[in-house]
Amino acid sequence: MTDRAVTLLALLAAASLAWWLLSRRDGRFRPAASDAAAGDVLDASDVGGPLTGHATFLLVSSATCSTCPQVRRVLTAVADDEPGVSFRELRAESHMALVRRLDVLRTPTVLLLDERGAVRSRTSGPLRADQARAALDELTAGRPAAALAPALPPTAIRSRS
Amino acid sequence: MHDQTHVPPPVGAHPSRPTGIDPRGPRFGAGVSAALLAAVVVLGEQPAGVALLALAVLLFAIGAVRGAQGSLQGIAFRTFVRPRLAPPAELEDPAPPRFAQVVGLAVTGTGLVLGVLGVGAAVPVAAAVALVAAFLNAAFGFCLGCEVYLLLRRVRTARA
Repeated sequence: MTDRAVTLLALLAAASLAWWLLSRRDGRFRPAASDAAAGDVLDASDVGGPLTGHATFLLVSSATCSTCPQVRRVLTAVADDEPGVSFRELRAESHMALVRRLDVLRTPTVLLLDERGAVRSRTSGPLRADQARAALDELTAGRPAAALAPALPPTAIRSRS
Repeated sequence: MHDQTHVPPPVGAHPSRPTGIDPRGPRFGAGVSAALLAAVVVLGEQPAGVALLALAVLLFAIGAVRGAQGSLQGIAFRTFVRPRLAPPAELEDPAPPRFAQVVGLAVTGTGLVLGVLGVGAAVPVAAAVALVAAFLNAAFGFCLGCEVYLLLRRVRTARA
């Protein structure tokens, strides 16, 4: 009986530790394994519509995903705030081929795509807005100034007039 | 007074299912399941342990059929706990916690059947597996059963 109670406490402690270790990865964007390796460039047919802007957050959700609504809210708000950033969502059940191709093991998984549709970084689990913004900063940081051109024309027009 | 009319509707991709549930309900229910399963782990294959595991199977079965909000724990939450709490900040889709009940039913049901067939060790082992999931849900709001869903789908489509 005492042995069993000790086993019980050890089990709960181990479960808590495992959860804590795994949840530290939640929401932290990790760079894609290689820069746009074969198969990691998505096009309009993959995401169900044309890619717009210089960055797209792609949320892979599912029917039994308890944290997806929270992640959806965060990403919708960030995409609304940041010019040139869009948000798309795919249901894993209806895109199993893509889920396999991209090695998605859990929902929510969030992929950050650049303007070519290449997967640049990814994360899974609960997500905060500051983590999403940090991933965007990371994406734009390594980019030559010319690539940010869409932001320039209004200034150029103003300086000319 | 018990009518929670100013609860905002959930922002979600399920316009066909506009009604959400209080996310604290399934967590409360998971706490009840965890206490029950912890007792089974301690009692093991004794008759009392098997009886409590059978009770856990019954509770999961009701939750699997009616959803977490329709389970006995869900009804207890609405009757005794929720009136004492502030309205929830947000509502939750009932599908994930219901799926978790199905996973709980599968795990505890297997343990009960094996236990009745004479594999005594299956009783505390199945209870321990289900306990980990119920405990993580109650303590941290983490739905382990929900995580299984995509992996199962992947296995199923791999065979197809």
